[in-house]
Amino acid sequence: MRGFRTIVGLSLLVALGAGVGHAANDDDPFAPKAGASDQPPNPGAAPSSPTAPAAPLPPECNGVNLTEDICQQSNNGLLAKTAGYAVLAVLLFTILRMWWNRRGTSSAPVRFITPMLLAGAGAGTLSGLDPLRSVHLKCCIANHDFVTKVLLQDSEVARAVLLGVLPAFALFFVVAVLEKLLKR
Amino acid sequence: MNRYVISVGGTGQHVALALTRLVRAGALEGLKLIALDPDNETRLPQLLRAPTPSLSGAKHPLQDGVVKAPFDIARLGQKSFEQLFVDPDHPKEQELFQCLFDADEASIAIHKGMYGTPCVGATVFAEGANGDLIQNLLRPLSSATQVFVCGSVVGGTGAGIMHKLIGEIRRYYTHEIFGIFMLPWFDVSATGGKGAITPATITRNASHGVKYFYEHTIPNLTASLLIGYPGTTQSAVLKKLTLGEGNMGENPHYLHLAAARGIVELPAAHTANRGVKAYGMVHDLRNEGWLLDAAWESGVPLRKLLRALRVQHNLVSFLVLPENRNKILSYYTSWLGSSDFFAPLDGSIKLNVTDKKMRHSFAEHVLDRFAEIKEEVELCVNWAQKIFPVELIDQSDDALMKELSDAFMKRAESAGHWKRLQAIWKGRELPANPDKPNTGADVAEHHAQIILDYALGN
Repeated sequence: MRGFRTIVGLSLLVALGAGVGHAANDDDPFAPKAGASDQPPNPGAAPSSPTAPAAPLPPECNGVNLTEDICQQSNNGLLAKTAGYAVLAVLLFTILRMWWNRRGTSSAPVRFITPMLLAGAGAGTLSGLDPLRSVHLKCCIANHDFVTKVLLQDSEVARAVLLGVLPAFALFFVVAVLEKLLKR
Repeated sequence: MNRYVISVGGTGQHVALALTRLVRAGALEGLKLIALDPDNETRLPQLLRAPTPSLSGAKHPLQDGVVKAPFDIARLGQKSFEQLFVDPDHPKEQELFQCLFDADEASIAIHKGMYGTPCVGATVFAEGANGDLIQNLLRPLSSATQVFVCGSVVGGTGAGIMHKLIGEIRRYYTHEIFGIFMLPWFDVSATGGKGAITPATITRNASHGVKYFYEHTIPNLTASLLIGYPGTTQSAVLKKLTLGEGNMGENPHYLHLAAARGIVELPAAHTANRGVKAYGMVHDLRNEGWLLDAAWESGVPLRKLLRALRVQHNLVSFLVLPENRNKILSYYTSWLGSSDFFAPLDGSIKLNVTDKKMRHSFAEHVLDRFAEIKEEVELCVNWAQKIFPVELIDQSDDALMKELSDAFMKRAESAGHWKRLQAIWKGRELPANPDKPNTGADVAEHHAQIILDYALGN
C-alpha cells in the first residue's frame, strides 16, 4: 500500500514535469545495487521471478547493448514522454474547453468535465500505448535483469491510469483554476 | 417641448396605447398623457395604466397611464344616470328628465362608462366640469407647448364631453390645440340585449357627432384630423372589426396608428397651411405599408425601428431563457462556470461591482431587467404584427433576421446567439459611474441599447 501511494504521488509530480523516476526505484528491493551496471547483460538468462515471466525478446533487441544506465535513462525518457503526453492532451482539451466556453452551449459542468475526461482518456491512451517507445526501452522491459528499472513495466493499464489519466486530470484542473484566478 | 395628449373615452385609450408603443419604440418622444374616462377598472384602462409591469407609474412611456374620471366618480358613487339628477320627492324633475332621456339612458351606471350615449356623457360632464377634480387634471396644461385631444366623436364619453372639455382646456392653455378624432372604426354585433350599443346607435352618433363637431367644436381647435373606416373596402391592413358585447379589452387596429400619426402630421400641416381646420387621411391601397415607411419624429422609418426591436427581442429573449439565466448566474456562484460566452456583459458587471460576493445578486438584477425589456419590446412588436401582415413588416432578404430566427430554434443551445452578442458588445462595457453607481437595470439597458443600435445600423 505504501508503495502504491508513493507511485501515485510521484506520477502526479512526473506529470508536472519533474523527472524523478529514479526515486521510485529506490524503494524497489529487487533493483540492482549501485555498481551493478558494470555487470554484463545476460539476455538469455531465465527470469528471476516466477510471477513475472519475461516475454520473448523482440527481434530488434538482437545486438542491442543494454546496461543499467541505459535502462534508467530509458525509464526517465518514458516518464518524460508520459508527462509530455499528459501536457499535450491537457493543452489540446483545454483549448477545446475554452472554445466551448466561448460558444456558451451546454451547462458549465458539462463544458468542464467533458474536456477533462477526454484529456484523461487521451493522456491515458498515449501513456499506455506509448507509440514513441524506444528500442532500448522495449529491450529493457524484455530483459529480466533490467525490467525492474522501468516504472510500472508490467502493466500498461496501470501506467495509463497512474502516469496518464490521473496527472492529466490534475493538470487540467490546475490549468482551469489558474485561468479562473487570472480572469477574476 | 412639453406636449400633452388628452385621451377621452375608450377610443382615446386605444390611440393612447398606440402612442405608448410608438414612444417605447422610439418613433415619438416627449408626450405626456392625461387619460379621461369614468371607467378605469376594465382591461383597457388597466392595460393603459401598466402596458407591462415595468412600464407603469413614472416609467410609463407617456409618463402617466392612469385613467382618471372626468368628474368626481367617488362622489357620484354607483348611481344610475337618473338617480344623479332626479330627486324622487320632486315629480316635476322626473317628468322633465323623462322628456329629455329615455329609459335606457336613465339606467346607465355612470361609473362604468356612457355606453355610446353622448347626451349622457355631456350632461354628467357639464355637471361636474367645474369641479376641482377635472380642474386639477387640466391645470398642468398651463406649461404645455402643444396639446392634442384624441377620442371618438361617436361614442358616449368622447362625443359627450369633447366639446365642453376643449372649453375647459382653454382656461389653462391658449396655444395650439390639435384634435385627433375617430369616426366609426368598428362594428358591433347586433345581438346585444336591451340598452346595448347597436350598429344603429353608432350610425346615429356618428351623424350627430360629426355635425356637432363641424358646427361647434372646430372653431375652438387649431386643426383636427378625422379618421374612420366605413368598412366598405377590405384590404390586408384595413379590416373590418366587429366587437361583441362585453368586449372591454384592447382591439388593435391600423386606424389607431394612423391617428397617432396625427401627432406628427397635424402640426406640420398646420404650419404649411393655417387656413385648414380639418384634415382627413387617405390610405394608400397600393402601398399599405406607407406608415411603416414614413419617417417618424426620430427620423427613422417605423419599419426599421420595428425590425431593430425584433432583433433586440430575439437576442434578449435568448439571453433570458431559463437555461441561459442559470448559466450566467452559476458563473458567479461556482468556480466551474465560465464568463467567456457573455464576457462583455460580465465585464460591465465587474466594472460596476467590485465586491465579488455582490456580483451574483447584481447579475440577477441585470437579467431581471433584460426580461422586462423583452416584455416591453413584445408590447410594441406584437401590436405591430396584429396590425400589419408579416409580409408587410418583414424586409425581404434580411439575412440577420433570418439567421437569428433560425438559430433561435435551437433555444439555449444556439452558439450563434452568444457569438453575435459577444461581437455586438465587444469593447462596449459600461464603466462605473463615480457620481451615481450604476444599477443592474442600467447595465441591462446599456447592453440592450447597444443591440438596438447595432440592429438599426445593420
